[in-house]
Amino acid sequence: MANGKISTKQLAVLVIYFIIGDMLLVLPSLIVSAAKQDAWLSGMLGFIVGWPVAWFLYKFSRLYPKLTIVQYSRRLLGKWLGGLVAIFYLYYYLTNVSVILREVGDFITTQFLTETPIMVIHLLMVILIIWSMKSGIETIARTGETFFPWNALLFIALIILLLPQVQMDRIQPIMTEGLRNINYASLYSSTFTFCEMNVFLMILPQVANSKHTERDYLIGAFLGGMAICSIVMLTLVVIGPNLIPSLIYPTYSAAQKINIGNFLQRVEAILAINWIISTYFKIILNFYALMLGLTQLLKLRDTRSMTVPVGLIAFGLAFAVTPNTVHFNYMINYYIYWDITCAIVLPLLLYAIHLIRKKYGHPNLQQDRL
Amino acid sequence: MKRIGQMIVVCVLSLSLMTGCWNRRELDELGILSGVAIDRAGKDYQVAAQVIIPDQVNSRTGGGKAPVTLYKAKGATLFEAFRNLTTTSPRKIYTAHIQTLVLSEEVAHEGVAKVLDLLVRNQETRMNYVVMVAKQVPAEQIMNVLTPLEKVPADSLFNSLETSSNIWSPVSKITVDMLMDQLTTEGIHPVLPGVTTTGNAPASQAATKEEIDVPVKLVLSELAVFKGDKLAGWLSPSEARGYNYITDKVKSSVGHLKCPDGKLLAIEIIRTKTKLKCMLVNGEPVIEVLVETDSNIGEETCNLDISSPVTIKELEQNAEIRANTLMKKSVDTMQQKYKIDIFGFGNLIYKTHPKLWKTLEKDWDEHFSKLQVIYKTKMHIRNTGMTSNSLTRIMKE
Repeated sequence: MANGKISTKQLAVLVIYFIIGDMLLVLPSLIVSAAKQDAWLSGMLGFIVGWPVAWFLYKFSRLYPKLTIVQYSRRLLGKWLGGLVAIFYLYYYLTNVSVILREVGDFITTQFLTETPIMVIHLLMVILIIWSMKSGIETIARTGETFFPWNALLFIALIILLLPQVQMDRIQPIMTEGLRNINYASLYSSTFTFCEMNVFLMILPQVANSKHTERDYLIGAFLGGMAICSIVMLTLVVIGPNLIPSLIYPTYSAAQKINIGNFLQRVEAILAINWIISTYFKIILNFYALMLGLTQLLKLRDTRSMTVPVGLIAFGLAFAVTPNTVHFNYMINYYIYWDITCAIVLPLLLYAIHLIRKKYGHPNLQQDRL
Repeated sequence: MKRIGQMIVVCVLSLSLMTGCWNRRELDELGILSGVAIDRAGKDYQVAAQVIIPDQVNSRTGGGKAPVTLYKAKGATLFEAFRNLTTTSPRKIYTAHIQTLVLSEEVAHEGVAKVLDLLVRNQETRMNYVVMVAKQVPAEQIMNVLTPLEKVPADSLFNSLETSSNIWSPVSKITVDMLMDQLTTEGIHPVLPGVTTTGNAPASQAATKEEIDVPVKLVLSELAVFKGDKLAGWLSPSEARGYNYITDKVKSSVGHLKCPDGKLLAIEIIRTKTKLKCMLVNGEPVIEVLVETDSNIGEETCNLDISSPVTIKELEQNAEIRANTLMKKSVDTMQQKYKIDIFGFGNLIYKTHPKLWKTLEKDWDEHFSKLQVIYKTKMHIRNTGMTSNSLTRIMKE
């Protein structure tokens, strides 16, 4: 599976899906409860801060273009300490997978199938993930490429159909919530989208060599960030800063308001489909990173033997990760720091060690030996 | 053999997974709710649910009997009351298509927020149904009136509210999301349209379709004013009209002017736009209401020469004065009688002068009662309909 190659265009699509991911539905609620009517500013700020983070992650991965973070952390820190860092990342990916699975389950059981046990929905998703995993990264990337035009079309349609409901005065007064709140809220929009992109530290080595890799990756990050900003803004001007914090899925409530001439209405399921597809990509990329890392750490020949057991672990964890939605929403606030640790703190640390080791001995550190 | 095994697995999986969810509900197992009335019965809530009878609504099989039926149940909380409905109704009540929610005055006095919580929390209901307060009659009675033109009474209420709010300025349509928005927004108190019944025949007699003029009808009456979520009082139709002009809810309407000879002239308002401005005069907020209206002369019974531009100019000025008086009367009532800001002036100050609002926020209702409001109306009479001078003027002596 290490020889699976994806094109840069497919990479861009995966980046967009990954950034929009689960945030399409839940971000407005988080960000508006912290920054009220200034949430759109926080969204922009998160974008301005987050895009360079994505760029940094790319540059960092290019230090060892053919190695994943699991491999080069061991190259840099040695077998044991590096292994510890690798396990930390793997644990992080596993948690991501189960938390996002739980989000899917919570959404479906809250909005659609209220009496269905959440485990059934998790199971369906896990079966899908295991199946995709067995098909390999190329298939996943092509799936993304196939779905992308439709998703983009539906996303744009959603925005256009909601324009009649927009009340621009909902964002007034501007800049009254205090810089502290605006900054804090921007953490949500930068970490859950851009910082979680550290998953690409595992995936970038799978991308076919091309001059345009960096460009396409950054374009993907840009488009994803723009989509997130526009969703925050749209939800804010359609529903307003007072109601959003009490809604769990404000974007969905906004989509429910679509009504063109009492004829085109009740189309919110389109948004739900869009969300489930983009969330699927976020789960599968995390899962792929987990499986690839596990294979590399344990020096297995391929992942096939591990896919089902790890999938079942994720299935169990998704159920165990939180007892209820209230606890989940509380936990989200601490997830920020984890994301920052994995996307900024640890890579910076590794980068510093890389520079030190490069200066003192090991001139051929960057050569590929594996 | 392996291939057959795979086929069996695929078949079993797709049969069990793709045939739908197990708590599916077929259409003939659902009682589709069209409207709800909520009353207080002692300590309990009483829910009266108007449920559609599909056979009777269908244009082929329908006719003869009432198209809806009313189920009533009580419960300490609304949710229990709703579930309790199943003791009388054979089908589970499906709330996704609810059109109208009617609250009794008593419930409104206690606070609407408690009542709304269930309907907002429930994932089935959508936020686009209208909310009304039943004036002087139990809310249940509103749901008990049959309406001849629209088969489903709750639809009829919804539609007449929508039609009226489009062409008749005293009526405004408030949906539940608007209500929630007003309840949570700073510097504004909500209003809800009132509804009542006319006629003194027992409501059930209205069910017969044999009479042309049904004995009991639903009437959209006054405007309920809330302080927070609690009913505080009622605005008369003319005051409600002022409210709708100020909050820019009027789409089109009809109003009348008195001619010098005491007779009346009706003006049809085609479109109107209101802008609110907040100015500071010596550090005190002053609200300016700017109304710009296009209108036609709709009915003229006095002896004016409306073919002359001078008359039109005078009429415009008269109409402007009348519009200003209407709005002033409405604001005066709220400032002096209730001291509740339903117009959102406070919200306007919050949006334009957030720092000033911080000092006013605490006792805004006090400040509101002393707030200075300036009215400026610009009335344009665009045409006079199909005729110029009226029949009364050109009629031979």
